[in-house]
Amino acid sequence: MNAAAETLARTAVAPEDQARADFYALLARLLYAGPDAALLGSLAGADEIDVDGGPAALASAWRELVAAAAAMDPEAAQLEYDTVFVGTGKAEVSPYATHYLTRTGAELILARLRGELAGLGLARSAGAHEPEDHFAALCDVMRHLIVARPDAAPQEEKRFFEAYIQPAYAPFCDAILASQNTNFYKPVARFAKAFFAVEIESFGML
Amino acid sequence: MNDKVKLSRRGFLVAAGAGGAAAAAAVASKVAPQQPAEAAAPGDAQRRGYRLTEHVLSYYRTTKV
Repeated sequence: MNAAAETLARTAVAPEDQARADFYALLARLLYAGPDAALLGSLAGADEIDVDGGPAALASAWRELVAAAAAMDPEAAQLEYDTVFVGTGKAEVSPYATHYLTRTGAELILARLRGELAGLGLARSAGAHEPEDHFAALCDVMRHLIVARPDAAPQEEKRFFEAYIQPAYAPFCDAILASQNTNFYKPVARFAKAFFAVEIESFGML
Repeated sequence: MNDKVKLSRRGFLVAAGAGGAAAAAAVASKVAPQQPAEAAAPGDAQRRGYRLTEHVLSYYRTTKV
């Protein structure tokens, strides 16, 4: 699809779905690499999330993330990311979903995921070397499903989410929260948990 | 999906703060990916269908062009 067609397609995305896509984009970016100064700056200056009589967990997690971004310097955040999620040899906290699923089934799950991505017409960019079950990649697929296919039924988002993100995100976030080396990524993990909880509840309405 | 389900889901998302959140949009527009070196060539962006906007992570490219 060319850029003009994408722009047209984007206008068909409902505001609440665009917001979800934006949260996925942010999580994908934060889980792919430590934030740079520009991202920390815009996060620090972000508005509060309005809650309209609903659950306030997402709003308070967002407020905490915004405050953490304001207090964090980019070098420290990037060092933290590299220390915790990359490391030499085995990372302290694996950013790969299959790590948190049945260990014996990891290869099988990855193979199935690759098949699904091919079916969606997605392939890794030239610069992306990480296996496809990286949480950043999974969030990026969700963002893609929401904005690039606004006509597609949300059942497809639900199915992908339930297959790859839902069973793995809680132990992943809990590992981030339990690490003695995480600082900025603790509020990131709490925000991710709050956001995915909203996603689970909304998918439950389908 | 019927309209009733669609409306109640939308209502829930908005009430929970995950719908219509200007906060997310403002930040997401600044999510400039740390470009891998080999992806930095000018003109490359136009060829990659998946790089829709400035805030795409660019982890994936679409194979449907």
